[in-house]
Amino acid sequence: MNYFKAKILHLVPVFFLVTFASFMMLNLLPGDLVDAILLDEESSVPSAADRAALEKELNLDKPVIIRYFIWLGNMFQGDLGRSYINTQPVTEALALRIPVSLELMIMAQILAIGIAVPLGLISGYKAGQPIDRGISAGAFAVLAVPLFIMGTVLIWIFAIWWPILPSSGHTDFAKDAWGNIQGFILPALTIGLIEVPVLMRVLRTDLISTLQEDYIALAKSKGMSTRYILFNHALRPSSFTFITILGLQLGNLITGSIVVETLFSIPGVGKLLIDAVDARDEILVQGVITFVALVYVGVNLLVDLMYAVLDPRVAARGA
Amino acid sequence: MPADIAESQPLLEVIDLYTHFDTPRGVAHAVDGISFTLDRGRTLGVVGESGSGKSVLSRTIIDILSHDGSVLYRGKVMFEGRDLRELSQKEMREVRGREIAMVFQDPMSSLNPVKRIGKQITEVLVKRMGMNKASANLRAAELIDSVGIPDPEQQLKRYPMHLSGGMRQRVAIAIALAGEPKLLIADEPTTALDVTIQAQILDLLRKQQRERNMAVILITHNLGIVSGYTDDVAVMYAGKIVERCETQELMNRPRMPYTEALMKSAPLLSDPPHTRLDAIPGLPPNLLNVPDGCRFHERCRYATDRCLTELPDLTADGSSEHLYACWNPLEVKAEALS
Ligand SMILES: Nc1ncnc2c1ncn2[C@@H]1O[C@H](COP(=O)(O)OP(=O)(O)OP(=O)(O)O)[C@@H](O)[C@H]1O
Ligand code: SF4
Ligand SMILES: [Mg+2]
Repeated sequence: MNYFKAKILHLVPVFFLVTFASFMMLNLLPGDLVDAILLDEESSVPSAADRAALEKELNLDKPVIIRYFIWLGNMFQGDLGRSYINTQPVTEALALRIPVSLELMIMAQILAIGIAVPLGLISGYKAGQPIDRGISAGAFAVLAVPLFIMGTVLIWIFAIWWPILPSSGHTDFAKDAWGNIQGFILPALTIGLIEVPVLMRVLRTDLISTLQEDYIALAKSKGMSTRYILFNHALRPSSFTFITILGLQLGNLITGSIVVETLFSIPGVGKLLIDAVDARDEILVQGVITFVALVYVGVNLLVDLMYAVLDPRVAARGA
Repeated sequence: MPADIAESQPLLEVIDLYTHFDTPRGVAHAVDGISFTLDRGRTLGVVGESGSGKSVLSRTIIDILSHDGSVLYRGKVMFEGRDLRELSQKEMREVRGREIAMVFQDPMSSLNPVKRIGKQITEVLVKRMGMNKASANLRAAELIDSVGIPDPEQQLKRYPMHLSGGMRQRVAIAIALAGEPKLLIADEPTTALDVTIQAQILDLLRKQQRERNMAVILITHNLGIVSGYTDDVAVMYAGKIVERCETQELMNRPRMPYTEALMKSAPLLSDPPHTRLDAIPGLPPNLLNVPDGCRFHERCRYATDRCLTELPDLTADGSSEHLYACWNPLEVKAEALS
C-alpha cells in the first residue's frame, strides 16, 4: 500500500496550492465587498463606522495571509464560513447542491462510457473497415462541437422537434424518480457525448495493439468467441489510457457541468458557483472552489486505484 | 465411419496449403503450397529459419489469422476427414481448444497478464467442456498438478507475473490440455526459456502426449530438439517444405542442401564440445518477392543453372518415404563418408 501513500503525499500540496491561489486571486478581484454587502442591505451610503464594524466581522481588517490561515483552520474543522450574502453556511449550500451535480456527472460518465466502449471495441476490432471509418467520421464531427451547441442541438431534437424529454428544470428524486432521471438525460448526454470521441479513439487505438498480443491468439486458439475475447480478454488491458482520459476529463466534466447546469437550469454546484460569482459572494466562491479541488484530488487518487485493480502489476511495481 | 477406417485415416492431412498476406507492399507468400500428414499420437517437427512461415502455418491450421480479406487462403486442412477450411467460424470454434490446441513461444506474452491463472484454465473447462464452476476449479487444480507445478490450489489464484518463465509455460500447457485436444501445436515452446528448463518442458510435453495419445506438431529452429523429441520432421524454407521424412532418416541422411546447412549451423545434442558452427551465409528470400527456381539457390553451394529457373518439387527416390525438393540432392554415400 506504499504506492497509495506516495500518491496521497503527492496530492496534498496540490490541494493547498489550489486553495491558496484561489484565495489570493479572489482577494485581487476589483470592487469592494463591504460596499457591495452594505449597499445591498440599505439604499443610503454606508457610514464609516458601519464599514469598520463589518470589516472586523469579516476579518477584512487583517492581512490576506492571516485570513487564509484563519479560513484554513476553520476548514479543517469542517467550517467553510457563511455566505456573505444570506449567511447560509457554505457547507450547507454545498450539501444541497452536491447530490444534484453528482447525479449529473455520474449519468454523464455512464452515458459516455456506455457509448464509447462498444463503439471503441467495434471500431478497433474492425479497424480500417467501413464501419470503423463511419464511426471515426462521426467522432470527429462530434469533437468539433462546443458544449453549449451540443446542448442546444439536443434540446432542439429531443425537447422541441421530438418532445420526449424536458429541456430544463429539476425534479426531486424522492418525489418523482423517473421525472428526476428524465430531467438529467439531456444535460448528461450533452456532457457525455462531448467525451465520447476521445474515449472511443483511445480505446480503439489500445485495442488494436492488444489484439496483436499473443494472449489474444491464445484465447482464440482456446475457441473463445469474439465477443467474449473482446470483453473479457482485450477490454481490460486496453483500458489504461481510457481510464486516464476519464480521470483527466473529470476536470472537463466539472467545467462542463457548470455550463450545462446553467443551460438546463439545474441547481447543482456549478450553478451555485456561477450565482455566487454573480453576487460577489467571495467566501461562497472560495468554498465551492475548495470543494471542487478536493473532488479533483480524490478523483485522481481513485484513478490510480483503478489502475491497480485493472492491472495487478501496477500495484506490485509501486510497492 | 467404421472404427478401423477412422484409425487408419491420418489425424491431420494438410493438402497444398497456401497462406498469403496481402500487404501494402505486396503479397507475402508466407505459406506457399504445403502438404503433409500426421497420424494420431505422432510428433511432427517443423524446423526452419526465422521467417520461413512456421508460425503462419500453425496459425492457419488452427485458423486464428484474420478473415478480413487481408489474408488469402487456399488448399485443404483435413482433420479426421473434415476440411477445416470449409467450416463456418462457429463450427471452427468448436474445433479450437477441443480438437486442436496451441502452445505459444513466449509464455510471458501468451498468458493474459490481467487474468488469474485459474480463470485462464477454467474458462476452457466451463465454456468449452460444459463444466460448472466448482468442478472446473477442481479440474484446473488437477491440470496444474499434472504439469508439475507445486501447490496447485494456491497457483490458481495467482497472476502470470508471479510465476517464472518455465512455470508459465507449464501453465500454458495445462491450458492447452484442458480441452483434451487430439492435436497440440507447440510453436517454439521453449525458445524463450533457459536451456535447463527447455528439456523439462519438452519432457513434460512428451509425457502428456504419451498419456493422452495426442499428436503434436513441434515447431522449432533447433535441430537438436527435433532429433530428440520428434518422430517425423518437415524442413521449411521460404514458405515451402523442402524436405520431409522420419526424423532418424533426416538426421542420418539429409538430402537437401538447406537441411545440411541447418545442421552445420546448429549445435546438435550429439556434437562434441567446441564443434565449429557454420552460420548459413546470406538471408532467406523476401517473401514479398520470392526468386524464380529453387528458393534456396542464392545461398546454396550446390546450385546449378537449373536451380535458378526451375522450382524443384518435393519428390522421393523410388518408393522411399524420404521427400526432398532439390535438383542436386546430397549423395547418401557422400554423407556416410564425411
Ligand atoms: N499478419 C501478417 N501480415 C503480413 N505478413 C506477415 C504476417 N504474419 C507473418 N507475416 C510474414 O510471414 C512470414 C513468415 O512468418 P512466420 O512468423 O510464420 O515465421 P516463423 O517461421 O514462425 O519465424 P520465427 O522462427 O521467427 O517464429 C514472415 O516473413 C512475416 O513477415
Ligand atoms: S535445387 Fe539447387 S539451389 Fe536448390 S537446394 Fe538443390 S542444389 Fe541447392
Ligand atoms: Mg514463429
